[in-house]
Amino acid sequence: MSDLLQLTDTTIRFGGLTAVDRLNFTIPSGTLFGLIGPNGAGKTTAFNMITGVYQPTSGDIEFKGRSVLGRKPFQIAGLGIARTFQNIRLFGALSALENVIVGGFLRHKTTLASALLYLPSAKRELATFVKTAMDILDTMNLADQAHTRAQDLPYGRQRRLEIARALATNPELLLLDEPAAGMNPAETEDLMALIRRLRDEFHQTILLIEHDMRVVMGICESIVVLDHGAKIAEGPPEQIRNDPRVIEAYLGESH
Amino acid sequence: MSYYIQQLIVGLQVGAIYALLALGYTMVYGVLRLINFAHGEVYMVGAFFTLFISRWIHAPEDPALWKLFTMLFGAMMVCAILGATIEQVAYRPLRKSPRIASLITAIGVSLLLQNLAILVFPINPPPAVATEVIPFQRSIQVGDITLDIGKMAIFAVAIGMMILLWWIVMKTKMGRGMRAASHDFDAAALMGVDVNKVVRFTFIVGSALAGAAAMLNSTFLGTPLRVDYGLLPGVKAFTAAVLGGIGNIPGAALGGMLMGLAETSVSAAHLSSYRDAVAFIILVLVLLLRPSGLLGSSKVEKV
Amino acid sequence: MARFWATRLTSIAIVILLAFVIGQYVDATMASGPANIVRRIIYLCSLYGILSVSLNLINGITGQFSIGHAAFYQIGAYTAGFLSRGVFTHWGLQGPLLLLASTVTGALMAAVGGWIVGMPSLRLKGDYLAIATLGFGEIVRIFAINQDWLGGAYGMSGIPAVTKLSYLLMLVALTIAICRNLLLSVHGKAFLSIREDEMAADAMGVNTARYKIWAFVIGAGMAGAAGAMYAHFETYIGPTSFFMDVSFIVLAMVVVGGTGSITGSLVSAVLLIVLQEKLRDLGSITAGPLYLVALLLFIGAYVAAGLCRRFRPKPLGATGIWGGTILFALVAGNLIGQRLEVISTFSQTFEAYQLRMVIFSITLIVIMIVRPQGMFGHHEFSWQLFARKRRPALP
Repeated sequence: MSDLLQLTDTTIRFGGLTAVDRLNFTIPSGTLFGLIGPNGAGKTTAFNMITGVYQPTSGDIEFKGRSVLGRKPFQIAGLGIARTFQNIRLFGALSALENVIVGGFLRHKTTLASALLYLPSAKRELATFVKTAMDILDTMNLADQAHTRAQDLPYGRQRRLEIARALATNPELLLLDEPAAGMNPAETEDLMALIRRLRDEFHQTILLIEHDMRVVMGICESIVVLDHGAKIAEGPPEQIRNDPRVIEAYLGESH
Repeated sequence: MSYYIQQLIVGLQVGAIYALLALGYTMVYGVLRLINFAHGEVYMVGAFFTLFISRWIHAPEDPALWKLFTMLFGAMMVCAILGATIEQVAYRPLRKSPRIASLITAIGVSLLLQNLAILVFPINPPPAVATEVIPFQRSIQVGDITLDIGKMAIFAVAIGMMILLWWIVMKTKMGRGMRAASHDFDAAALMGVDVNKVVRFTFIVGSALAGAAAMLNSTFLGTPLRVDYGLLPGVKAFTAAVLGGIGNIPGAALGGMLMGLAETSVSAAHLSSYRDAVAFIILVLVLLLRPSGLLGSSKVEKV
Repeated sequence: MARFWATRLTSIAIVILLAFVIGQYVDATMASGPANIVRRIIYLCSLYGILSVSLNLINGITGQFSIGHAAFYQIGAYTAGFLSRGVFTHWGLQGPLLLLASTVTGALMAAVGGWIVGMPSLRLKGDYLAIATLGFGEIVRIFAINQDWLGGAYGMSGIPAVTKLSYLLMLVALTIAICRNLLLSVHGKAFLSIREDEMAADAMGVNTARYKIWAFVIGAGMAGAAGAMYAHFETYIGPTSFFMDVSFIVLAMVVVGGTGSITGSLVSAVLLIVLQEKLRDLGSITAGPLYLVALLLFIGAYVAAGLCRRFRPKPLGATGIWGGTILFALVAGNLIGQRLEVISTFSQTFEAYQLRMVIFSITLIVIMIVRPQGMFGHHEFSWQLFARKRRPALP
């Protein structure tokens, strides 16, 4: 198994605050990797550096052996990294179907000019995009509401639609930012089954951020724990569960 | 040499007017994140009411210092009421809508006031307050520099207003509310700040400052009153607010002064037909190069 | 494939034929006399239709809030005015060819302007972008006033009158077709996604910078083409023809029609222009009824909005409530207002035409407060509206 993503001493400072401090980890292809830690530990910041929203102050991020530094978010998406957002950022007024079509945008082959003239190629392209998008919606059990506006979908479905949209980019690495946030236990259970399926059936490499430790324990092969921007533990779930520093970090929070 | 000093003084006078107007923009933006397009029109209405009041109290025929103050406070009062009304009728219903909706409404209010003014105000021929209060146009000579007493009053009043504003913002309960709301509007509401009151107060204070600026400009600088009286000063003052860092009160004062100087420099360099373009060029440049302005702090969008 | 081109070419032919027939008919029968006013209204509706559909591409579809659209219109008009008199006629171009040359160069120059304005949109959002575009528009206008070779404050006259309604209608059709085609493509969804959430669009691999600039370039180009046709229609253009008011009127059209809806932009352009010209016909009106109608409309709007919130009626019922309120305000205001004319303040008269901008601005405010999504929302006109069972408009 080859390494898909590698963070080397990745550090970012905002003013005097070091949000992520010399973070190191490696995600092998085909794994379900968890990134956990208490609120404000720097998980989402790490995501934002991987996807090019922020540029690290120092250190490196390599995807398939190439550095992603200095690239814009859309270029990084083009390399094969897709993400969801912690606070859902769907295209609210567009239908679920259209959301997923935009997710597939990277695969477009027609030019803007041919779209403006509505040449047969542009027409055909949209038709194939619709078909692919419907397949993905089907996988995510959203097909029945394909024509509903994203903002009118129930909360849990919005979360799933975000994953569907990210999957439509056909990513090699899928970043999920607290996909279970705000869900009830039953919904969370479903979602976790779905994520597991993505890995098992589609061999999707996934990096999952979760605030709630229990959620990730069940499904991730490997977990990195962040606290105050620094990595405090890494390893398989059993090891993490018993790591005194992890317990300290989480207990410290609940105190 | 004296030519340049004279120009410098003119620049600062114009700048003081812009500064007073810019304060209104910056305060409203600070609290509501709204560009109050109608602010320039409030200023225009203030100028017209200065004229009406000066006629009602017979300031032109029988000048007295108290009449000038009556004009000043009258204009401030009218503008304050107008500002509060605009906020109540047009902006408050949209508090929870997207910001663009409020912006369009603001443009609508600005257009409405301008076009109502065309119908209602005597604009043909354009009257001027200054020509009617000539007794206040006396001047003194310092070396070879002529100082207009009336024009010096602009400084005095403008600086007085700014000190008053500083006191209001820093020392009063309302001022504390304003600072809280501009820091985080929703949190301020949750913490028991009566945000509706604070917003109304912000509009009242900002509009009153516009009224003061209108009275000073129309009385001592003597521009003829037309319905687009507030259009360019409005945009220039907004530019000043952006230049200083929008939402930042000292920044607005600084930006206003700089705008006045920039404009007068262009006129002094005999490019006066481009005087109005300067404001827009500065505006576009500041927005592109340093949107947070001179004294503002940049904010990062949270993902 | 063959079938595609057969349908495509037939529909293009039908559109051209229709534009030609309608244009020729109007130009031939309404060229003189009172009908000429109607003809002028049709021209204006078409010009503003193009402007509002093109601004809708920037504002409504791509979500880049631009309020300096008059600048592109002006650039197109000035390019046409300058080149047609100085260059094209020397080349011996006349009639449709002259118009074509002017329209294309006008569109290109305006597109360059759009590219320049699009640049700030890479760094600025929302209200900041709006004010920057407004600034750009004013810079263009002040620049034109100060250039003698562009006629300075006097503008340019004697531009060959070669615009025919047929050509103008074809340009309208082209504008609509381009926007509609865009929306039916994958690229169109990318434009829409920028409006909805720029950061998410970016994360999906949409080169948002590139698309935003394209929106400005295409939208500005269309406005420039309209400007060129305007110059060759009016034969005189000056800096006063392109005040901020023009930008605001076009903005009002897009907003009233429903941001993002091509149909809405077009319909509201026609409505607002017709309203404006109808006001001209009204002549003068007395203050009494005017003030009272305004007052009653104002109170009525609050009451109607309150009723709608309280009872949440179906669209038909809501229309009824609003229609009734407006009707009541008009009738009652008129009747009571006439009684008030004995008082001198209420007996002065206004030119109804002067009320045009007042009505526009009030419409803008009321729409924003009552129905921010505009008449059509994001929807488009579709024949399926008449079908018994509605299918989603998308494939």
